[in-house]
Amino acid sequence: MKICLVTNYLNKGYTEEIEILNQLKITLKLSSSDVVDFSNANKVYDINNDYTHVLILLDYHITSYKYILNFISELTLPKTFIIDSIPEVEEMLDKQFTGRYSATKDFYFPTIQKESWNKLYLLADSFIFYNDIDYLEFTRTYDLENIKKEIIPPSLGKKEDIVFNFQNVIKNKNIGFIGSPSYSKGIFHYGYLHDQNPTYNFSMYGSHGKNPLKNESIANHITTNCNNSKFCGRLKDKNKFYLNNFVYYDFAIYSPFSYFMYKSLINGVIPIISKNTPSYQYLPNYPFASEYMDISSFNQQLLNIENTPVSELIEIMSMYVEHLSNTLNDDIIKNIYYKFLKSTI
Amino acid sequence: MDLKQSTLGFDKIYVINLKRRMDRRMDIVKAFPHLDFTFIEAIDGQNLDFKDLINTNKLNSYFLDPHGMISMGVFACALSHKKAWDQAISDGVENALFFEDDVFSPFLLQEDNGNFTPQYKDILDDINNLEWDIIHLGKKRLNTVGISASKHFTFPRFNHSYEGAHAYAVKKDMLKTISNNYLPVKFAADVYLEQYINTHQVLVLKESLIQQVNDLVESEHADSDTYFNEYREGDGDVGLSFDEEGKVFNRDIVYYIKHPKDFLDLYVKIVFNEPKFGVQKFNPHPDKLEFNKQFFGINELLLFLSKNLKEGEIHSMLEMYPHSGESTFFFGCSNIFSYIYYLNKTVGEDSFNQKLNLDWKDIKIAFNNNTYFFKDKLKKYEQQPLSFLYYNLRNNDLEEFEKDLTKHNNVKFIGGSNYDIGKNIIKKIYNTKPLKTFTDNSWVIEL
Repeated sequence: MKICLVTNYLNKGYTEEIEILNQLKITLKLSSSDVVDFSNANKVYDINNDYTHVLILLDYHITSYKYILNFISELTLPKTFIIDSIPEVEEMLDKQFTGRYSATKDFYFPTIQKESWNKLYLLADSFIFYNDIDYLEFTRTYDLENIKKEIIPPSLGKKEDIVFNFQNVIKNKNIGFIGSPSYSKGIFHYGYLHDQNPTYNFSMYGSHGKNPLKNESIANHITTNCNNSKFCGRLKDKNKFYLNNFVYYDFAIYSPFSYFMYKSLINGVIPIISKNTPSYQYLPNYPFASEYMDISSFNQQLLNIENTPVSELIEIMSMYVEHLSNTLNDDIIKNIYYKFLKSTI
Repeated sequence: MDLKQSTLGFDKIYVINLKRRMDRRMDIVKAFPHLDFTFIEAIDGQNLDFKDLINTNKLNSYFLDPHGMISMGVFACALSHKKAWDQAISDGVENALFFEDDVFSPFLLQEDNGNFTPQYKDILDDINNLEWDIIHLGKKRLNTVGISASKHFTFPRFNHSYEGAHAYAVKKDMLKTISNNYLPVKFAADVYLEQYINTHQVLVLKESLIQQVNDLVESEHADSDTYFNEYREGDGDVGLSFDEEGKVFNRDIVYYIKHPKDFLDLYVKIVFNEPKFGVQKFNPHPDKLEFNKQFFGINELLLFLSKNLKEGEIHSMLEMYPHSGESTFFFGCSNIFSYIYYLNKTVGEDSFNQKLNLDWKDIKIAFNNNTYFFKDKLKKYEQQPLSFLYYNLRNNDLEEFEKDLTKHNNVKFIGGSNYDIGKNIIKKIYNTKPLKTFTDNSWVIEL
């Protein structure tokens, strides 16, 4: 089996998406030449000749729809789309944010229309989703029947490397976040958490992300209105982040795979997640999970963590890291990929 | 960083200055009397040879620019910045501040005794407390938007602050990164530094502290060694921009151009080498001709040829004076020809897409998928029969057109655009009218 990954994520300054992409390359043992963008239309014929399967990972921020449509339609190999987020859901949340909170009430969402996505997805032979919730939402949203699919989350690395770093569990008043400061990641809601519990420091790391204008306004809203909160830009020293922060902020309204939440957990930063989210699916019965979209519940979990002895936190986290190590390691994920892709021929 | 008052808190200040611009050197010293500058003799665009730059791999075979502007000054400026970075690396500094020689500050940075003003000290405190790789102390725009990083600095939005590389500081490790990756040059210095927003810690002052003298005047009066002097007089070796109608100036060196809306990176792509699009590989589209007919009259000519050239045989064509537009696109998509050659470099985009509301992305596909070969392979057509010889006729090609027409043998059909322009010559050479003329003024003769 020879896999080619076609994506429009290359050379974009995103944080989490690029990390997941790089991890996928490692998991599937893809070389740099196995990962191509859409810049050369002729490349499609080399792919048809040199590979057996194509994975397509699309950023919904598409600027050349017709071109990409043409490119993908010329691929003669089995085409599997990796759905890392559902544009319609992102757009709905964007509208929600604009309607409820944005002073300017402008609306611009950087993606193509649903009909165009539908046309693009019709070219797929199969789909990979990061979680069940997305799969159900996807089939509700698009007019696609009886699609061939598999749920395959990203890997978190080699099994032997997914080991709990208990030394970083040090109680302090620091909450950390890595990614883009978007509404869907729940960053805007940090303001409400801060109102209830202003004693914490909040450090956001990452970049503007896919919706730069909105995310910029959200990040600036938080840093202006919440004392002790700051946006620190790209994360240069991950270890320093894990060491400095006690709690990881995952109040995601929509996040198909909170990659840095898992990474933080492994490295001793205690995440607070929400029930009814993909994060909760992969961390079943996790004790520090708030009710979905309930910031008071989130704050309660913050207090719960604060009141739990470090030794107990280490015990709980070790158990979950072991669970992740057994379920989301490179070998397991690679095998699921290979088995599924073989079935698409 | 200690106070280092003579270098604004950085290890060194490098100033890029042309040898022939002593006036500027004197001005900057006068403007900042307490500062200690290390002058870097800038590379002069007047002394650069375009072909030499390409051959020595200093200049990329294409250039990307948000505005589609190039000049020898731009290349020289880029190389001068690299020269300054290399000097800083060789000096072993931990960080360095880089100025172009026409900078000034509307704010007071130092007191009369050389001490920093409270305002500058406040900025310096910010710098010392932030993690950064590149810091801009000024951009063309007075204010830069982004995610606030501190009281004075912001993380800029990508592609919103690319203008201006006249006052920036770089840390040691980053100096190596930017220097090692700059050749062959494919961005102007400021646009190049902008690219690092996607991968590194690039911070910009919310309000520009250092500006350029040229920012105070209208651009046509600007004293700029990079863009305006030779470019405006039209006698620079390389100079390119779009006029108000989107037409391109100076095509002596540029082979073709992709507009921003045609290009995924949202910059104009200016290509300096001949197209090498490779063999056309797009799969047959049975309805392609009908589809194309909606857009452009050349399809009538192509339909005629498809009916009159034997199916199943290999057909070659040669395009003379090719444009980077309609014929290129439709010849390729017609699927009639197995080999498409061209002679002469492309003469550039024309306005057919605008008139016919054809998407530029469609043309991009044509650029990338049509069948072209290099000059050395063109001999092939001389030895083999040619099914079709096509001329993009323009008034200024007529003399050459007449000479060409007498050369070609072994051609089944000869045709072209703009019959009205070429009809006298066609009649003179062939002593006949075309076999057919089409609604778009294309014509064809069977030989």
